[in-house]
Amino acid sequence: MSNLHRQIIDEAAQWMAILQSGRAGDEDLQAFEVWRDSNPEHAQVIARMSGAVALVPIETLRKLPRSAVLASVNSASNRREFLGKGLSVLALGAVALSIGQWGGLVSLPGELQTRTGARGKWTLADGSVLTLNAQSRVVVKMESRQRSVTLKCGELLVDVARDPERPFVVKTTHGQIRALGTQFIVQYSDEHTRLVMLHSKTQIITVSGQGLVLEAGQAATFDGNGVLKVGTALGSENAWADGLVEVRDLPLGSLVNELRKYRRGIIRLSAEAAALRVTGVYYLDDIDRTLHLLERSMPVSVVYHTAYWVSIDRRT
Amino acid sequence: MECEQRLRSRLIDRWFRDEYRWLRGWVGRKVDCTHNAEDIASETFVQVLNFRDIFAVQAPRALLSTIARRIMFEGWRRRNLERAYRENLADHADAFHPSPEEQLVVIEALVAVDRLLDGLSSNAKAAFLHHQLDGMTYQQIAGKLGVSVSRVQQYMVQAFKRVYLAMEQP
Repeated sequence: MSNLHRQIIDEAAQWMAILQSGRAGDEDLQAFEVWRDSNPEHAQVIARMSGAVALVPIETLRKLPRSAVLASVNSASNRREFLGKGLSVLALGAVALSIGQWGGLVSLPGELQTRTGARGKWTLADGSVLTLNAQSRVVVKMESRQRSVTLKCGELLVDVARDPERPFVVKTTHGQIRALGTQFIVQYSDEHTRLVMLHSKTQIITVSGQGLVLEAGQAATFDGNGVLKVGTALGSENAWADGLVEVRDLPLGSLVNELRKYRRGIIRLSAEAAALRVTGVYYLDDIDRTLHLLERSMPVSVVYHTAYWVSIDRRT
Repeated sequence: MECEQRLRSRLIDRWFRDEYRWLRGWVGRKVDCTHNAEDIASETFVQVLNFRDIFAVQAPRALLSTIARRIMFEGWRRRNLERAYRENLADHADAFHPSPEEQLVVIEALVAVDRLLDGLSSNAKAAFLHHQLDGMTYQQIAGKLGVSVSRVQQYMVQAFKRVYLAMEQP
């Protein structure tokens, strides 16, 4: 940007502030008009600046508590700081995700992880069996008093070997799940952790200290502040361990999110298609076959732009 | 036209084959979760699709990492906004009960205004918003913020400049 242009923006902003002060008199207005008409670029910049101000979504923001708007826009360090400091700021901001060592993919002792398109199954020293869904990661720690698995991301099915002396604990940033011997699934996202009990029972203790005992057939969602929801398990939550995904009357968007874990590359889904309801059992290990099936059974078109690149749209 | 489309798609396809893995690794070193890295890398390529001067790009990795960095920032910033907003809203829970759809609209509005005002001091943001949303005079804003009227006018100048530049350089 040239210095001249910068100066014009500066002047235009001065004028805007005067004109919008509500105290501008006739003389101000005349002086402004002289400035504006003296150079076509002046008029252009003023017009664009008014246009930019009009981009502020006033109607929506006006309805909100003012303190909430102000707290939000002042909530974090700004963009330039972010870009200036590089990504360490991001890592700190993305926060809560990691404990201490960010950057994740540095392999830690006891770390197990799966990538796109592959599940993993491990038997631990105590005989417990961990199955990781695609794109998941855990850190395992076997100690004399306690066995612990920290779920860093993704989804975990655990079959706990019984050991009354050493509780088995699954930890997330939201809390922990304690068991003696049982089978359950833990799903982790940034927002919350979900536990699905398959056999026996476990105890949840959230970071905030709230406790809850969950029995077989129940499912609960919690975050660091407490338990958000307790309900009945669907019974199909562990289908992925067999390479299947079962959905009942869910938006296509949530099914495609599951499929994305299993297909390298991009699956683009239009908003209209994402909202369609879907019910059925689908294969995870042959995503292209699943997509073909979807195309035949639903009003959607599946277009392959390249081998890596698929678009799903609502058929018109 | 048809031909250019095909060239474009061939070029992006080649980048995808050559660079996707690299990009995912690059992003992966910056975020914690593999699936986040995957999402960000995918979204990057989606945005590359809309990149007009694709044939002029000499160093695809530089372009890809720049776009990816922006996507990471936007996501990070949006989560922050959302969290701050929800936390504050909890104090007003009795007065204000937005539906999930309304909440989405609200978050979009906050993201939009945040982008426009980004980089201003919190006082300048407050001055601009009180003026635009509440129709407060500079005098009233000065009283509210405990500063002089001429200071408020300076805030407004800064804000108008910022908003203009934010629009100029998306």
